Order: sequence, then structure tokens, then C-alpha cells
Amino acid sequence: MTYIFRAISAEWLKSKRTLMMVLVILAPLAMGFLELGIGFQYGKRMYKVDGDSWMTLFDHISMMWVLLLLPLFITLEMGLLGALEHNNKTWKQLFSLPLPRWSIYMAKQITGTGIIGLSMAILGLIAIGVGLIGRIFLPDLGFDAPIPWQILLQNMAVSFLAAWLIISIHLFVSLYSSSFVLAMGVGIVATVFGITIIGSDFEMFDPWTIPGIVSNSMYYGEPYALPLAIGIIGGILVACIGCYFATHRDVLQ
Amino acid sequence: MMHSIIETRNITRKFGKTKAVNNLSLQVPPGCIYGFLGPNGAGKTTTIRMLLGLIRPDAGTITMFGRSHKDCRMEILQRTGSLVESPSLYPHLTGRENLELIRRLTGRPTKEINRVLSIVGMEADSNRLVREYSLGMRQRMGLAVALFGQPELLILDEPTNGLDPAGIHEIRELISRLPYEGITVFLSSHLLSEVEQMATRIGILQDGSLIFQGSPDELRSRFQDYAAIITDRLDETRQFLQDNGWNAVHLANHHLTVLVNGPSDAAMINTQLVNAGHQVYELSLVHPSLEDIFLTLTGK
Repeated sequence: MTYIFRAISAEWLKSKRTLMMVLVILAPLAMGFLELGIGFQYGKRMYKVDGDSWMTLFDHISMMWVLLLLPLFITLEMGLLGALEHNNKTWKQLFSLPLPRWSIYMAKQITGTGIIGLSMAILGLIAIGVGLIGRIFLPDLGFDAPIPWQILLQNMAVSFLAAWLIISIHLFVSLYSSSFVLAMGVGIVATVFGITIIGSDFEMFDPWTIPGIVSNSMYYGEPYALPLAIGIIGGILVACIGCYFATHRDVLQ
Repeated sequence: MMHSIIETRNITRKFGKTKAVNNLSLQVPPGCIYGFLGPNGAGKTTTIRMLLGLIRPDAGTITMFGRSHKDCRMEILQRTGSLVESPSLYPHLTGRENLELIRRLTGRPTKEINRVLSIVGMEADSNRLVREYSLGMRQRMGLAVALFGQPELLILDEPTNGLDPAGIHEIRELISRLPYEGITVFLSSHLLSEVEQMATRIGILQDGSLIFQGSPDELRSRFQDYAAIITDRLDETRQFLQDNGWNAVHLANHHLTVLVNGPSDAAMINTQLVNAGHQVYELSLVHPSLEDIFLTLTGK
């Protein structure tokens, strides 16, 4: 366990002054600005006075986030996490140190997952901020109702957990291939494919749609235990496969 | 008692059909500077990667500090520092932060950072970003990383790559001091001149196979001195010397080279040539440098 803590601590130090950490704030912020713009432009059409405006806002933000921005964001973040080692040819140094290789991989997995979790927490706060701005500047839209914290927290938590599988897949790709283009390509193609098959019978078999399915089902009170379990267990499984490969692969870079 | 810090037995590593390292058996005694030499592509870096556990041999065994690499990887790496090819540094971090990263990973005390910075003379620049460092500074910082944790064995792969003469001299001075601190150095290079002044033991690798292993003196003793001669009629002089029983006479770069056994032979040749009417412009006795020997052995 000590090895993992050491490796995580080193990962956080490595992320200092990187685009990776800037994006953690920038991506949810962009999402917030987008929603704010839409709110000011089309607010009266989107938010029914007699409806639950907070729920509409959360649903809107989370759908755009989990289906489109989150997979791309994960692709980019995991790509950057891998590029940090590939570009500086640091694998040979890391794997020559007296700590198990799996601990280095696992630390990256935890760091990557932590980064995504952090960005989703920030997104939650930004969603509240957008609603509060609406409350002040668009008083007719119904944001004066109490903030449904529980639903927001629950939604962010399940979407995050459901995203573990995508996080693990992208981390695996970006750590095993030194090509940033390949890592990005996989993410972009998979995201677009995910959007096209959502709503079909196969949607649950595509890891990139799982956070969307879970988030959507939660809002509409439908069962989401199975896709959530696929997301979590699949994520852990792929992470374990990654650890195995990290331990057994040749380091030629 | 441990006889060798590094001992490999018939290690072989293939990449596809190519044998990068073939039946390599190395013995590196403690406290030495082992110059691991070979032309580019001879298999030096592959060997070093196997010693560090970065790649696995297809056959053979590696023992370090008397322990099997296969079973005691962690313990071996705990006692080993390395610099493989270029220094592995994060350019967006400062030099000190790069060392802090190694400190966190290895769980060593913070004072170790200042210790290695002072060894490589980088205290003043340690708070600058690595991306602002010159090549020499990066190389020194790479050595600081290798020296982190007071290793008993330092494995350095081409540590002076890309350095200017002053930088090479600086690194050489630094490496030469290490055995006095109880550190065994395994140093690879494709330039014999680079390790000639430091190495107490030499291994020469060619096409993945070891073609020599021993002390520099043993290597020198395998090669005879020769006399380099310039006369007014080189072809006739060559014929004359061959007729008088001198071996391996050949013409090279406007002079003749004749294998001799010391200065008395050279003096005898001079007398014979003068008596026969050859005008001797120049005659010098040459002890082949290790570089010459290396080039002869490797044919590069």
C-alpha cells in the first residue's frame, strides 16, 4: 500500500503546471458558460415556470456532459497523463526504481480517476452557480426553488462511477501507445459512435454510452444498477489488466 | 563472499529474428569502473535494460549483488542507480522537483536531494525549470537522479552523449571519484577514448557478443607495438624490410607500419635501412592506444 501512496504523491507532483490540471477547471467551466448562454437565449422556452427548473438544468447539463464532453474530456486527460511519460521518455526511469510496476500503473489509474472526479465535482458547483445566476438575472425561470442537492450529488456520483470503464480503457490505450494521435482518435471515434447508438438495443454494450444511460435513468426514475455495475466492475477489470501488462511488458522507450 | 556485483551467464535477447545480445557472460567486480564498449547497435543498451529489469532475457541468468535478478528485482534496484541514454526528466518541473519526485517514489529522506545536488554541482540551478537547462545541466541532473539513495552500483549508458568537451571532462571527473565512495560503476560507451582514462575493467561487445573482457593492460598486451616509418621510397623500403624478415609490413597513409618488439627492433630497422641507402625521414615507435585496439577488434 505504501508503494501506491508514494506513487500517487509523485503523480500529483508531476501534474503541476500541466494542461491536465487547467482542463479540470476549464472543461466544466466551458460547460457552465454554454448552459448560461443557452439559458439567457432560450431560457423561457426551456424552463417551464410551473416545472422544476433545477431538475431541467441538471438534466440538461449532465446529458451534454456525460454523452459528449465527458468522453472527450477523459480521452484528453488520459492522453495527457500518458504523454507525460512518453514524451519525456521516463518509463525507463520509473520502472528502474525500487517499487513494483503495478503500483506505478495503479497510481496513474487513481490519479486519472481522481482528476475526472474532481472535474465532475467542479461541474456540480458550476451547475449550482448557473442556477443561482438564473435566480438573480432571470427571476421568471423558477430558480427560486430550493436547490435539490441530493439529486445533484447522486447524479454526479453515479455518472462518475459509471465512467470508470471509459477512464480505464483510455488510460490503458494512452499508456500502451506512445501515439497521442491514436489515443485521441480512439476517444473521438468511440464518442461519436456512442452518440449514434444511444437509444438502440446495443447501447449498454458500448462503454462510452454507460454514463449517459445511468444519468438519464436516474433522472427518470428508471433502474440503472446493471449499467452502473458494468461501468464500475468493467473499470476495475480493465485497470487490473493494465496492471498485469505494466508488470510484464518490455520497456524499450 | 560476493565476487561480482554483476554476473550474467549466457544471456540472450532476440528482437524478431535478430539476436541483439547473444550468450553474454559479464563479470563486474565490486569497486571498479567497468567500461562496457561497443559500436552503436552492438547490444549495449539492450544489456543495460536487462540489468535494470526493463526487458527480460530470452535465455540465461542475471545475478547482481549475489542475488538472482528474477527473484530479487526490488532489492537489486534498491542498491542500483541508473542513467539510460538521455536523462529522464520532466521539463515542466524544476530540477529540485524532479528529485523530489524520485524522493517520493523511493521514500528517501529530503536531505538526500541536497546531497545529490551538491555532488553534481547543481544547487544554484535547482529551482529552475528543467526545460531551461542546457544539455550538460540535464545530464548532470540525470546523474543526480542516478545517485539518489546512495546506490552501490551505478549503471550509466552513454552518460556524455551530446556533451561538449568541457561537459565530458566534468562528467568524467565526477565518475572517476565514485569508486572512492564505494560505488561500482558500469559505464557503457561507443567511444573507448571516453572510458580509457577511467575504466579499471573493460568489456567489448560486438554484434551482441562479448569479444573481450579484462583489464585495460590485458587488452593492450594483446596488441604489439609497431614502428611507423616514412622514407624516400616507400614501396622499395617495404620490399627491403620484407626481404629481411620483418613481419606484417604494410603501407598506410603514406607511411609503413612494421610490427616490432620494443625500441631495440626499431633501432635495428633504422640501421638496416640507412645501411641499405634508404633515406629515413621519420621513424617512430607506436604503442597502440586502446582506441586503436578497439577499432581493430570491432572493425569499425
